[in-house]
Amino acid sequence: MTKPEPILEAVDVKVHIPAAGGRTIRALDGVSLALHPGEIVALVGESGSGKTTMARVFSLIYKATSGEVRYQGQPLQRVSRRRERAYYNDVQLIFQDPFASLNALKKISYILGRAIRIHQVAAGARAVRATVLDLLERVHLTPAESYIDRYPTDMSGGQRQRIAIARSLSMEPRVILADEPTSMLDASIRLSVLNLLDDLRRERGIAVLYITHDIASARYLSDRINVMYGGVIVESGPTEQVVSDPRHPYTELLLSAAPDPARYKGSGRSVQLDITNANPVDNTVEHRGCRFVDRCPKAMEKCADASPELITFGDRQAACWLVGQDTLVTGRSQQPKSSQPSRGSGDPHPSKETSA
Amino acid sequence: MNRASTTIDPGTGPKAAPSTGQIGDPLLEARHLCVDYVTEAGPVRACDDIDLTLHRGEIVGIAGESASGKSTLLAALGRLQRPPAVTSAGQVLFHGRGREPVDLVRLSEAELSPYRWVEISIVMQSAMACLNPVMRLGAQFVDAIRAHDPQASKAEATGQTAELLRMVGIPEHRLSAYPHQLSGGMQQRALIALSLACRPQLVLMDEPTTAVDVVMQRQILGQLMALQAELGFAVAFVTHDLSLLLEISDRIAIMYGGKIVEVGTPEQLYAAPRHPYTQGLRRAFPPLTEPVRRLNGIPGSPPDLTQLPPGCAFAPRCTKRIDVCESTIPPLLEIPGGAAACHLVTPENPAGAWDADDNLSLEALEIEEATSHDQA
Repeated sequence: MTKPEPILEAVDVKVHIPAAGGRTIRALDGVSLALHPGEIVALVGESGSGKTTMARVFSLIYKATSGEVRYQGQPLQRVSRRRERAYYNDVQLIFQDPFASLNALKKISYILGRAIRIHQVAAGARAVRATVLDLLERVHLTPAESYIDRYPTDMSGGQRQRIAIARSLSMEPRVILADEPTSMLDASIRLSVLNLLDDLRRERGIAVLYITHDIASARYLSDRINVMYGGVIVESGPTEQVVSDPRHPYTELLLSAAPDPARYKGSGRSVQLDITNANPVDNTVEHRGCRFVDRCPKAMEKCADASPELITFGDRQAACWLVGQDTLVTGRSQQPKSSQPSRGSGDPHPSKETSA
Repeated sequence: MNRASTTIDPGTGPKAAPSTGQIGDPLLEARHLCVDYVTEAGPVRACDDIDLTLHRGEIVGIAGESASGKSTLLAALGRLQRPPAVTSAGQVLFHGRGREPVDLVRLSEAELSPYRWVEISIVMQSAMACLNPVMRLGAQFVDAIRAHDPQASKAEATGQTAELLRMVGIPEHRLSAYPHQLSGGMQQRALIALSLACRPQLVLMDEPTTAVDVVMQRQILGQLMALQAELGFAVAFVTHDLSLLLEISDRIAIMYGGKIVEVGTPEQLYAAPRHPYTQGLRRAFPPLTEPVRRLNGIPGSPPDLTQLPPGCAFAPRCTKRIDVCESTIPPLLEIPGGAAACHLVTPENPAGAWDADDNLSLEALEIEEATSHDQA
């Protein structure tokens, strides 16, 4: 199976923001990332790692200081106003907080209808209303008639987030940038929003960039995971491979720090982590060595002196001196391997197909 | 009231008696506790007939969704709620060492004062909102320590502060820092240290790690667990994150629509939760080590407390409801190893509606995975 061309791509994108005192915040410091049609790509990392900045570069809110963003193979820097408008239709952003992203004083019919009118998806009151009803059904807010005249304040967080998704769907987008779409929602309804995104890519071939700090939900939803740290991608690869066999110490740390029901008290599977420094990296200074060196349990002398390149092996990449190019030796040999170490290798959607 | 004059030394402190997580006698008991929010449209019951006992040295997790009443309950346990929330019925019995239990609900503010911080303290979610932004960190600790122990000199209190901060990994020189000069994680840890300033028997924690990153959360929890084992205080820990509670709690209470619907050990709730809501919650958190399969969470939305259904509050979302669920509220039934409020849970059938198909545990899934290609 050869991969199609990426629909949206970042190539070595840097975003440097001038800050007080003549300092520069290196929000993104050379990130390359590709989204293919029908693919869900997760971007995982802590606050300040640059995840949201990446989404804002893709949605043209921030301009890249250097590097290139390509849509359907075309660099975006050189597009005309008209193409830019088409791009806004095709690439839709969904925000974290559905309480802030919907106008509380307007009915759903207005909120969705306005987007439809502005982007000329439909014209005339009747056609617009029909389109709104269709959108509500697509995000499973049924019967749609009972939702169309409500205000956002009459709806739960999960329902509001569906309205936000419906609004983006009105443009028939090719790409959805979902920036922490479930972190404000209650646990019992998060999955319905994740499943909705999964259905959209399945049924409509929409590419989804799923930004989250929750690696368990990234594992659930995505085909590929990109782990960000301090403005760069430190590891990427097919989701199951990265989760079951992480190569970068930061990915290992993220996985072992995340709560996991299977490690319940008394299970004998609890982890004891000796974390002495959990502070995020200072991205206002230029880093000579690896950004993770101060927190890395496996740091060597070399790590402070020189920054490791992103090394490609198979379908995966990692930026760590412990990842040898030929042998793929990592420092984690003392840890037990996953029960299915080779699971999904060579298959870009290993777990998803079994569940479909 | 003679406790705070001794310098805090977690290793040899006189109060460190019930160490290494030993669970002792009842410490705080809620009996038929009801909390109402007074609104223009009439009272809204946020906590309804809560019975919950916290034991010495025990970590009790309280899980639930927004508006389930979990934070309201926590505030009521410490008599910390403010109008429009009022405790409308029930008791909160505090069992002091060698003393008769006292009903905190009946005490005046002045009578409560000796209990605050010295017996019961609280850690809230937003550290920056709890710490005074215009006071140096050290001064806030000294304030609290001397307010509850007027005999302590300023130098003694400062010494204790340095020790408290050291316990949560904050170096002594940060005593002179203002809260905004600390990172979010450090602020949260400072708040935990502050809650321990007067060596309380019980620490109430309301989503103390929700605002920090997962690695920082793990660091904070690690320190908290170590301190708890050393000092032996009890913890009531409120969060929406059931995965987290499964890892840290001795016992977990699940709240829904203002009521406790299930109580159990982490093992019980992991392997065979009894209430359909808990079963749904277990299916709402994607696994990290278990095999992935399509999960569906819980259909529908959490209930509106102003328009609760006449029967079980969960009935409209419950896939296992029977006729009686829509008309009668199920009582919280004590069963071996916990309690559950579900019509399907009876003394004859304590497992409730749980059946083999529901099993989500690691062992069960490994067997199932080979054969199942379930509904998507």
